[in-house]
Amino acid sequence: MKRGFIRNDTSTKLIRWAPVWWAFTVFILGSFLIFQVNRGVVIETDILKLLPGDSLSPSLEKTIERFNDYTKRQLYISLTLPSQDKLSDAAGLFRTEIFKSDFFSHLPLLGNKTSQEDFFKTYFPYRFQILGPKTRSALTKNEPHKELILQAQKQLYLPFSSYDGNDLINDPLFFFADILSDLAFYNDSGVIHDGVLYRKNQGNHQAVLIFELKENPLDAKNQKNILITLERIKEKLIQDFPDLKINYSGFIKFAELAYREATDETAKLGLIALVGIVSLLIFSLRGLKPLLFSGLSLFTGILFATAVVMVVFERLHIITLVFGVGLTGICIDYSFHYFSVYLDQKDSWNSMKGLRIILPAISLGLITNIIGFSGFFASDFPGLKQIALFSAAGMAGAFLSVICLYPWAFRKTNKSNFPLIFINSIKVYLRFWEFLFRGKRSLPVLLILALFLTTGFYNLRFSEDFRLLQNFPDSLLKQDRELRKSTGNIDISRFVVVETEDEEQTLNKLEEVSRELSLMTQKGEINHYFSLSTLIPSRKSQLENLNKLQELYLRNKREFTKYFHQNGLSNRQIKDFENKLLEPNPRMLKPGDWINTEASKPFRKLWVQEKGKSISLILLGGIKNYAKIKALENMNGVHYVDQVSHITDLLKKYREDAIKLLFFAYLAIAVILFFRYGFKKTLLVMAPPVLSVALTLAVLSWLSIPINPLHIISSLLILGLGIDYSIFLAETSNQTERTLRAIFLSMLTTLLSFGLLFFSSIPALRTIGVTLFLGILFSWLLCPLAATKLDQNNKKC
Amino acid sequence: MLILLCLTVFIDFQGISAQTAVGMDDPVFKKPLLKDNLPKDFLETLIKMKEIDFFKLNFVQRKKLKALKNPLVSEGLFVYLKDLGMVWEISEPISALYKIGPAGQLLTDGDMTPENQRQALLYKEILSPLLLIIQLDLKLLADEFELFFQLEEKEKWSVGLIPRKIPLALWIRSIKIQGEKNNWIKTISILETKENSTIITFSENNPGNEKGFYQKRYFNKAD
Repeated sequence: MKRGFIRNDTSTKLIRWAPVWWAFTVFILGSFLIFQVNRGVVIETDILKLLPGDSLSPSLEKTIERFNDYTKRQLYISLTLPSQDKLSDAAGLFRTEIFKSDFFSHLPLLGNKTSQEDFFKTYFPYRFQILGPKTRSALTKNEPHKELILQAQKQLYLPFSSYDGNDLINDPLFFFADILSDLAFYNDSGVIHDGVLYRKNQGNHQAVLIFELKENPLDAKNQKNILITLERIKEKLIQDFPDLKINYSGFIKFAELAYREATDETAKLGLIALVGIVSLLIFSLRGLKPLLFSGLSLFTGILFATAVVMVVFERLHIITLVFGVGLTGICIDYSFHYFSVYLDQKDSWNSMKGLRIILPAISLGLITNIIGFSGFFASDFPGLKQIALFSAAGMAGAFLSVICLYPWAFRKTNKSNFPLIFINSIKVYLRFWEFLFRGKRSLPVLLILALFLTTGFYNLRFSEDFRLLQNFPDSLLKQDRELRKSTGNIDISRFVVVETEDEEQTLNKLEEVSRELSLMTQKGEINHYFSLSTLIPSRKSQLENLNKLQELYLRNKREFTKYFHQNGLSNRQIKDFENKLLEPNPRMLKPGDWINTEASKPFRKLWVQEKGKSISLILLGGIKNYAKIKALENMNGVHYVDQVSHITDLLKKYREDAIKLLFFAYLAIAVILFFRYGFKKTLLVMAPPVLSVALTLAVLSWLSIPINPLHIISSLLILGLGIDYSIFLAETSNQTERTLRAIFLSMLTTLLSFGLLFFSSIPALRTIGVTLFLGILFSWLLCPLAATKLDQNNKKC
Repeated sequence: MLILLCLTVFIDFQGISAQTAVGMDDPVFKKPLLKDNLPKDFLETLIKMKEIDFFKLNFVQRKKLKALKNPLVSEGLFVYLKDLGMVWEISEPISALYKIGPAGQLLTDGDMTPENQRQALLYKEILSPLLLIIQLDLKLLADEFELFFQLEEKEKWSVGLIPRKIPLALWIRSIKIQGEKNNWIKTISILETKENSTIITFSENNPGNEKGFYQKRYFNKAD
């Protein structure tokens, strides 16, 4: 009696204090979340961010990440008018308006007046060391001095040419003009003036501008504000130029669309699911109080999950949030088991006793799930880690809410009953199950099942095409392609990276690779490339160029002087030219100096000094021979980065690793269960979730749906739910019907929340929806297997 | 020719100020071209120009650069082949050949092909309006230029052109074409935005080789 009293006293204290602890924890986590939201939550919408980083060196990886970040911040604007007359006015007004907001900085294309001056300031002093293509070509001829003079004369006497007389005096051989010609790599399809590209497009005249976003384009708040600003400017300009058409593209547009679609769909489907779940709960649990506390469990689970993920990860992935919807199914399980007992026990009800009845089952369910998911947390894949942590923390939160709140909230005896229709349905299903698996009758069922699985698995196909998981309108993709093409058609997903430990070595290597790429361009193996080797030649090349010119001048001084005189240069002007060319200790252009010039602004992202490494990116356009580009990797310190095929490879690895991890998760759970149930019972408990996943994959195969990594990730949740169902049944095998009622409710709510994703227009969400719909349904259908009693070798439910 | 490429990059560098004899204060730029008021002789010349598929003229080009005391003078042969394009062959003081295709694309730049496709495209933007000047196609010219017309004396006329569009407007401030009946274009005066000016004077080329010869010589095409 004394012990019972003490226990009762302890129970009373627990019942009283546990809700306070729960409230305190929720308050702390809630405050943390509010604080984080106010700071600005970054929701990652890029499916590819679920993947691990490159297997390249950390410095290289960082360089690529920086470059990707830079390209993601670019915003392309096109202004189209039927005639060119007012186009530059429209472009000017657009720029003025856009700078009124503080979101953008202009990325001028070459041709901007300021950039011309910047280029002049940066390169004119180095005109004898950094040579343009025609000068370089002239130096390879038999009589290079004659070739240089002839080239200069041709420019002078060209019928339609333009240059300034001062240019002729300061640079009579037009070296600087030749350098500039090497830099005019942008103007594939039009003419650049004042940093704006003007081109003809389908009979209309178009101005293309590029801006860089100062803010993070992934931040939903920024996305909204930036796009509102753009729309406002668009409206204003159309008032002034009624025929004007304004289009814009860039990563932000895709990110905003993905975010909007995902949130809209989640909200829409979530609302339908909520209405369905609330109606189901009111109907089945007979009251608002159980509904309210189910909601609190769910809320606690989601709060725990989100807070923990935000502590560990910098960004929250949209797919993780979607899994949050699915977590409903697992989180609410614990509540349903409590309510199942609550509705079952009438006068003998004791809220703590009720908890004690379900505690072993829900504890074991939680532990096995957390152990199962922990394997995924140890993987290299950030996406899997986040989802695993989110699920584990969510379940722990829901578990805590049940043990802290429910004994306190449901102290009074219950008068209601579980709906008769549910009770009868469960009975019918159990009888059907017994009928199906009694004696020899089970043999054909098992044979059909085996045949279905074998053929399904035989035809199983895998797909790593991540584009299938994205869903952008063709018109948007086409517009983006066109705008990018007009501004250089640089392939931002494929590039060559040169990495060495010394800046001169990197510059030398850049020159070596550029020579190879020039040959490939001549052979038509690539359309074009852009390397910093033209902007910052190595010290070795600069010295070589200078020495060649100096020697050439000294050897042929008379002929050069004659040419200068012919064109009106005075002796003093000739002497000045000579002094500059023959300066004894000329300064060389170094990356460190170059990076601080305004002229380097559009290209700075291509040069990185990182942890003792000097790294430079070479951009490529119109690659036709990938093998040749890949072969550049044979040179030391040269890497070819193909982000598209890299992602495909990663996705393949992701899928393979996820399958392995899933296998180990099952194995880990099986080991724990073995200690509690022994070998045979463990097999029976494990069979439903294992078979559910197998059947789901087989059905997908039969439907000719190739398996992608999201199917495998979704199998995680099937495992989580399936193992819960099995353990609850195994732990309460003398109360199979009662437990099945709780599982039935759980299954219905999960189907309502996840099954609806099946109707999503977003391929990624649809993939998760269809997998979980099938998996959870199979888990429910097969779970009675776990309740099989193993006495005297007779299987009986 | 290289400087042409740099034109769009460098054009505004030194600013714009002075005018010359062919500048905007020339009387021709006070009289916008009105099709209804064009003299009969001039209209006949326009019709004749459309029918011509070949002609050759000698030219003398005088370039006046502000920074130099003396003008740069060159001379050579200009050949127009309607379907193939036009050729400027400089013979003095240097030897250089510039071939421009029928759409204004530069085919050779002083015996050298343009560096790449991009450069060729840029040249085309600049050269195609100039081809229209040679062809004196007023309808197409009106898209590219503001047009002016002045009858100087009987059978002698001047057409003024002010570029409307980039990139030509960046480079050229105005062009004046002077011609006369049966003698088509006598001079082309170009005022550049950087105070420099060019005057090209055309004169009759001695009779001799005809269309087929030049087709073969410059474009390697048989008649």
